[in-house]
Amino acid sequence: MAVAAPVERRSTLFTSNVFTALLVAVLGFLFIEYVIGRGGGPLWAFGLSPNSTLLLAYIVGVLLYLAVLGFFTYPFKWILGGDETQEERLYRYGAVPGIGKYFRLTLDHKIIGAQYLFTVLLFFCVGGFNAMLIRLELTGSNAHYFSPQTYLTLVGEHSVMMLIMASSIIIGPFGNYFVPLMIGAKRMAYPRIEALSFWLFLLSGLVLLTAIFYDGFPTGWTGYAPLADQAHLGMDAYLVAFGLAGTSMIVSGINIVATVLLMRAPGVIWTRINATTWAVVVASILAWLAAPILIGVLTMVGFDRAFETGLFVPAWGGSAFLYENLFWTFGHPEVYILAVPAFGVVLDILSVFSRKPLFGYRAAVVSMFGIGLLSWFVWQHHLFVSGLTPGLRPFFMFSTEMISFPTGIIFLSALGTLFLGKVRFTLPMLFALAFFPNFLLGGISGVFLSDVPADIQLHGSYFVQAHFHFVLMGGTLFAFFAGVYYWLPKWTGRQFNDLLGKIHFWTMFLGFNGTFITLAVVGLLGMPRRVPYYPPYLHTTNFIASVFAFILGASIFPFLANLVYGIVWGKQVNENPWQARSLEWQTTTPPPIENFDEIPQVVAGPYDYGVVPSRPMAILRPSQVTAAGATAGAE
Amino acid sequence: MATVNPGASDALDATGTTATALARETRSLDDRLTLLQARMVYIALAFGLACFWFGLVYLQLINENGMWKPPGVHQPTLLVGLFEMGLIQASGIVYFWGQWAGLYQRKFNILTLGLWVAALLGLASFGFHIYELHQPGFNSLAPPLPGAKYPAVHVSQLQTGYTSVFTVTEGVFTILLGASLFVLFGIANRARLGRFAKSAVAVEAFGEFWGFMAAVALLNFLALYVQPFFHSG
Repeated sequence: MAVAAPVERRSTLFTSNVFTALLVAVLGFLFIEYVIGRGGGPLWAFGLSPNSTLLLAYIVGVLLYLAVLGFFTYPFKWILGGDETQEERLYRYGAVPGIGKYFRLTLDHKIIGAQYLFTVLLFFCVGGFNAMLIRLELTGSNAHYFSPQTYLTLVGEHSVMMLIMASSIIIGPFGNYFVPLMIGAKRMAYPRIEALSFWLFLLSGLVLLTAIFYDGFPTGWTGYAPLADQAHLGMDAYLVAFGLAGTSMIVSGINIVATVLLMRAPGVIWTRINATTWAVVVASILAWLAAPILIGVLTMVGFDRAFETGLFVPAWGGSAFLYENLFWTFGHPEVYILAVPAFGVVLDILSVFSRKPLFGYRAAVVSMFGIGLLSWFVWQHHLFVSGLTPGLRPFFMFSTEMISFPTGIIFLSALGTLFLGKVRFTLPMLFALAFFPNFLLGGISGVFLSDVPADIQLHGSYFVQAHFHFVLMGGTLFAFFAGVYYWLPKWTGRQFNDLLGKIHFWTMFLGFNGTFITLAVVGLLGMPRRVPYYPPYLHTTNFIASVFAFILGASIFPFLANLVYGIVWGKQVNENPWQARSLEWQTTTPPPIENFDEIPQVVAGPYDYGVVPSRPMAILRPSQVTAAGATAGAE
Repeated sequence: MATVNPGASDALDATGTTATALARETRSLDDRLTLLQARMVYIALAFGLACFWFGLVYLQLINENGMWKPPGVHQPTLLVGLFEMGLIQASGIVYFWGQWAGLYQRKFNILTLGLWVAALLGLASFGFHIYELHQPGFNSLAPPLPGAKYPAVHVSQLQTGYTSVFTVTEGVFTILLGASLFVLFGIANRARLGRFAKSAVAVEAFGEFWGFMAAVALLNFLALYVQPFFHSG
């Protein structure tokens, strides 16, 4: 696509922004649900169940939302024999001034990355607010702020919102923004489905919130059937929301894998791809293949609820084990969809701020793929207490413990990189370093839980909850913030405030560890998850956990203040403030629409810090070098 | 095993290698991306559909409460299943005929004809699917349960493992078939307008996908109609 002068184009109803899209979607939803779907309406008279009607209303709402955003404009035009004009392409790629492009369908991967970043933060704040309410309730041993049903709704909203958010927390903002830059591509492979992944992601969180209007859902994030078959109408919101998130993960995965396979610049051989890109690719492969299973199993629950099939109802020839097996076949790769990208981010940051090549680069990359592969063979450790055939337990115990080997190699790679390095304790480095003890606690507690005797004792307790949070929050979220502090200067050209950043780091680190170490103890003392009541002897520990949780919750405020400060008033920095080698730092700040003035010729790896003699990673203007008679492409 | 005619084999290998290399060189990046996208989509769909096939095997094996397919529960008519599946296979063959003529012999009028006929055959199969889901005939001997809560949902007349798996598998396949036909009619329309003279990679990519759909239809037929014939629970 040739870059031309910015174009002006007025929005129409069908190329409109997110607010119009949401308004039309809500109106369509209300029309189906309340005008023709309730008492006396045609759908009601036809005999559709309330579940069927609600699911239909959600589907109509989703289609209207996508139509108004403009997702169907191009396909319809294509089918009718037309093609996109250059003006339309430029408009879609955001070649217009103003911030309006951030609120509508845009195909530039950098704008989509920014849209993801702010949506992730929005979802994180909403999910975090739910967590604060949960901890508020648990400051006392009896339900005193919320009814048990409301408490379960809070738990469900918190867990699913955070899972949806975390599944895109690194792939969404950083994968979309930086992977093309890191491999020297002008764009993503499929810009439209990249945009689709974001807009479905946004909608999934919003649909999830509508469960509140239908009495919530009692199942937490796992949505176990047959409880899910029997739950209130809010369960349908869960099905649609998680289904949309799954679809978003699939299309995002396809897009990123294809981009890295086919869009690399000349010279970007496999060993010159940085760890972040590899990690995002591994997670994308998992998302591409595992999320369809999620959608399959959610569809089955939807059929049970809407059409009265009995797939998960034992009395009707169904089985709850069927649900558990299918859900966890998705569910465990899902954990690594969340965790593996974090490995890549922290390894890259460690190398930059230690000024050393990444130790054991190839072993670390192979380990990421090893983790991804093994994650398909461990799902039944979630079923140890569900009646799994005892003979199968040792295999799944062993396969689960096997995951600690590739994970250990990644830790070794990190330690080797730090060893004798010239370490700079910058903000990104602090968060990257904190990732390791946090994830270590999560990993070691995971090894405990993979042992059948321990799991039988601890299943469903707060120990499991603490383990899960150490992996996902202590790991993924710390890596996310490391990435924000590391890469945002590239987006904005401005630096964060160091003091605010350090306040953010220390309050978050202390608050997080205080909360979840205490909750691990609470779990060892026998407190089950998802219950608002507990015996009085657990009061003190729960109260301490709540106090630390509030500190953790408060840590977001210095971050938000710093984000605003960094974007608006931050000190201006040059194009490569960290003196990093990888390709994304070699282009202008912010990068142009097609990322580089010319497709770069990559001639070295991203980690040759301190290597003498060292070449720059890329020749950024190969045509000029060739014209001058230099040795472009010495490889 | 010794090679009977090593020269011929080498020549074939060389031809294959050259063809692959030429394909890499002659295909534009956009063409390669389109083909890759189609392949990745149907692989993802295969993982999703595998849930239903796993459900079929699992529920049939455990036969919970003897309710996989208790006496009195009938399969939908084999003839309808045969029509559904056969029409899609025929559609796939016709599509391939049109694709071959258009892409490799440059006979674009045959391409257009092939695509339209394939789309119409697919539409006929879609119609049979809708009919079958509306009147599955699981329990043709017994009257509908008198207390059926939501009469529009005919599958609720009797809940068993088989009827549940059948409904979700065929239901989802019908939705997929409808969406695919929408694209197929679009491609046929573009062929009618002569839009594939320069690049027909969309025809090629959708052809692969349509082949996948034909394979799924065949598998569904074997799993839902033929195989339960021999296992009544």
